[in-house]
Amino acid sequence: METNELKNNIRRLRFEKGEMTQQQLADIAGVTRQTIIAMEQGKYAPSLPLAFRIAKAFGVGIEQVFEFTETGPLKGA
Amino acid sequence: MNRTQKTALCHLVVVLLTLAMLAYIFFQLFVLKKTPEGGRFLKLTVLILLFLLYGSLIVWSLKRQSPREVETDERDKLITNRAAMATFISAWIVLPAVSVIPQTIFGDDGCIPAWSLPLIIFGALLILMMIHSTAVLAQYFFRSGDGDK
Repeated sequence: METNELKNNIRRLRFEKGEMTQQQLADIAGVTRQTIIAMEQGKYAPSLPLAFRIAKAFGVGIEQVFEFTETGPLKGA
Repeated sequence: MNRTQKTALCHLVVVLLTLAMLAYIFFQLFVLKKTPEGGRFLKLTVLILLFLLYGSLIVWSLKRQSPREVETDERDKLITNRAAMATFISAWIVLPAVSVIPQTIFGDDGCIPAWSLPLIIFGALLILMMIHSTAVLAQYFFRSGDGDK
C-alpha cells in the first residue's frame, strides 16, 4: 500500500539546540512529553498549528523540522 | 505516562475489580442460589480497600511530569474522541447482549428479582467504561494517527 509520509528532524534539532530535553520542548510547544516521543518515533503527525509551534521553539522554518516524503499519489491530483 | 493514560489505567483497574466482584455476587446469588460467602466485615473491608485503591490511583494520575506540563493536548483529544466512538459503537453490541443474559440463564419463563435489573445495567455501563479505557490505552501503545486540525 502506498502512503505519503511526514518525517521530522525533532531529535536532531533538540540536540543542536543545547541538548534540549523532550520535556522542555513539550513545555514550550504546549503538549505532553508523550506526544513529542510519538512524533520522534514517527507514530504521530502533528497538526499544522503544533508543527509551527515546534518550529518556532527551535527558531527555524517549518520545512527544516518536517519533511514530506511523497511515495503515493496525492489526493485530488 | 501522561494524565489521560493514567486516568484510563486507573479506570480500567477499578472497573475490572468491580466487575469481578459483581460477577462473583451474580454467580453466587443466581447460579448457585446462595448468599455470597463472607460476612459484613469482609464486604466492608473489600469496599474500603476498593475506595482506597481508587483514591491512591487518582492522586497518582494528578501528579505532573513537569510543573509547566499541559493536562491534555491535541493527540490526547484525538485519542479520547476515537475511544468514545469505539465505545458508542460497542454500546450497540454490549447493551442488547447484556439484556439477554437473564433469559439465557433462566429460560423464557424464568424470573429475576426487580433489584437485579439496575445491577445488570450498572454492569453493562462498567463494561463500556472498560472498553473506553482499553481503547485509550491501546491507541497510546500502538499507532495514534495524525493530527486533524
